[in-house]
Amino acid sequence: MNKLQLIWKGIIKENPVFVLVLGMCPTLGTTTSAINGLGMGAATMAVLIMSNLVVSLIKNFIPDKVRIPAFIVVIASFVTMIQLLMQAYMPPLYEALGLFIPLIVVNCIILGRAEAFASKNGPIDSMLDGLGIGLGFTFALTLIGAIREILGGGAVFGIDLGITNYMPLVFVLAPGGFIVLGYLMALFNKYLKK
Amino acid sequence: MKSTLFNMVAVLFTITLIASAAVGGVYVLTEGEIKQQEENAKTEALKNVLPQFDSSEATVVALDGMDITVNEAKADGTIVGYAVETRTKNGFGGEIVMMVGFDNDGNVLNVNVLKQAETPGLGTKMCDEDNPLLASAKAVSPADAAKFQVKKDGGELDALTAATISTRAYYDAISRAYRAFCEVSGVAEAPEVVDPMAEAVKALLPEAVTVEVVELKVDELPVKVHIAKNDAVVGYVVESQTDKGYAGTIRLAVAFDAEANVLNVKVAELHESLEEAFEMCAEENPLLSSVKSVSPANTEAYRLKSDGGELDALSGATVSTMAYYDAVARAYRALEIANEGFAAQKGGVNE
Amino acid sequence: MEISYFAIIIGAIFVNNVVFAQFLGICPFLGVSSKVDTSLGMGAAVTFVMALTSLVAWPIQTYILNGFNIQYMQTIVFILVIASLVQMVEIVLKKVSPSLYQALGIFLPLITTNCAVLGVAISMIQKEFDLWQSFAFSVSTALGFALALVIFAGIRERLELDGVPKAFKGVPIALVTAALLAMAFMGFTGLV
Repeated sequence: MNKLQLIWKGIIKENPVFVLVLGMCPTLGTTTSAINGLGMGAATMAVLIMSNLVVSLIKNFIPDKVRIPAFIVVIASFVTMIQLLMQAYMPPLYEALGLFIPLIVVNCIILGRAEAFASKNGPIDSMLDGLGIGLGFTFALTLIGAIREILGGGAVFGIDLGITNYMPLVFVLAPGGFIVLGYLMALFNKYLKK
Repeated sequence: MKSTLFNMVAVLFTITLIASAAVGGVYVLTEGEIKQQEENAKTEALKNVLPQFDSSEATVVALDGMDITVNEAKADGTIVGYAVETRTKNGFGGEIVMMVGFDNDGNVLNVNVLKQAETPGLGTKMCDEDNPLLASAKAVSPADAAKFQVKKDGGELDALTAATISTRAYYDAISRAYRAFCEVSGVAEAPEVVDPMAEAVKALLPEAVTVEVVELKVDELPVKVHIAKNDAVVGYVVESQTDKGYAGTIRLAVAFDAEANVLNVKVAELHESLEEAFEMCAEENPLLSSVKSVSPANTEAYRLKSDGGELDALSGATVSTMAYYDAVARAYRALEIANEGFAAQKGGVNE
Repeated sequence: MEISYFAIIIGAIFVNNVVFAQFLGICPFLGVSSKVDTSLGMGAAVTFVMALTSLVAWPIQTYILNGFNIQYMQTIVFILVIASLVQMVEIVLKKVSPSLYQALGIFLPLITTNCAVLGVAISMIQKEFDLWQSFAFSVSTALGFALALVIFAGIRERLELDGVPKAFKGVPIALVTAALLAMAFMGFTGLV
């Protein structure tokens, strides 16, 4: 498969959020603003690429029966590393994402890709797959975050659009997350999924 | 790869070992930076609320069961101000932690909210750079406890629209910060914590030569009856309470005349979460006029109109309404019990 | 922490409902909530595992992670604890009570990757609860999850029979429905 195609399919055709419907918790929980969505997407992508790489490198040494636990340990280690790095170098984002950073471990996308792709393919392809899916996830989260921030707070990436006082707050709160994601998914179904 | 017990254990063990070593390595690398960041965050918070300073010294004071940290900031050896890390448990979404800066005279310089979980867009406005709460806190000195209250509660402070509870919590934290400031700096006397019940009783008690106080229990709840006497009884004030509130205890001071008619009621403690319930604190409100006209002795009439009685309710706050009437009825019963006691005593003396 | 059990329980079930307010456990929420029966089974399985997790994770955090000052290993240790617990529950259930195993068995593997379980274990430590508070918190969070699941399943069973625009079929309409439920749950705000 063409390398570029491998990345592209993760963004549109196999978009983890809109098409595969995976990783819903961070998708809803961290997208109160565009920047939070972007940060969560980037953190997840980093873990995804690294864990895909390591899993594809060690896949031949792991006995079948302990495959899943082994993958989980690999993923959890990378999550902890990302967690520590964010705490050290990006404290505001670390505060904003809070509980959802350790919860990257249980993001079904990561274990899913390790199991479905990285454990069957070479290291380069696995990293590219991680990159593609990661970009797709980041794209989805940033988009949802931007929409919620505009509708609920009248700003995007923290830039005030001057309409703050007219916006329905509910989009930043819990129900807004569900509604925006539902409508985006329906749009995806209608125009992009064939 | 085929699974045997040996290779399963060996592989998992190796992976875990390498993984923990790698994580441990990253931890060692980032440890210093994380500490540095935490330190920075703290100094940043201090800088935000204080004038230029070069050193600071922290003292921890325990107030109302909470640890309040007072940072004394100095520039060239002279004190330039105090930054108090204060907290309150009265927030709408749990604990609120704030850094409050005072100058040497105890005036509020600036406030920085460090931690809160209030309703986004309503209570969270307390974090904004210039918000009405901060402006009020700067304008009114927390030294004057009577003025340092929300306008609705008889003070001079502004409130956030539709976020009364967050507002009260904000000012509560600042008052606490001020008390901690007084304790550490010794600059001013800490204002006495006003006991709203004592205030209410004082306001309601009629002029009299002697005041007798009887403490008793009605339905398990402690009630206090103040009896104002010249020669004969001039009136009573009963400290009553109820546990039937929507959000905990409500305490009332009820004033009766010598014939046990309700003269006035003042609410001393109220935690209700509904805005509507606070109506009962107003000088004139439907609950008060109801208890003035319907005696609790008249059990037929002393019921909500919806129950066939004659009492009005606060629309949208039925539970709080019932609690109010319950507390007034308890006060009345306390009065009855206390009077029987006196009658018996008197009888004893006469014999 | 001076928080009454009542506040913890009501808070975890209604006010901060895992699904509708905290966005945890959405995957199983969308995946298993098409029938009331299955969602009851899932709810029961999650409650069971969460209760056990709190009883195991709390001592580990207090005596091992805090004891050796390696709090940063929390994520790795907790996820392994949960994974092994789920595995053990599965083995024990199979031996001891085959009927219960039949009822809950198919849901158990799904629970390891249910972020509500790990999320609760981490939150109860963050909130500095003691052991029994943690237990109450975990169980009531799980009950909140089960409640959300059952309510939602009831609605979805009806939704199946309704004419929904094609693009909205399946997950999108479920999400919009969840939004309305989340709004209803917002009514509990400020209760404790």
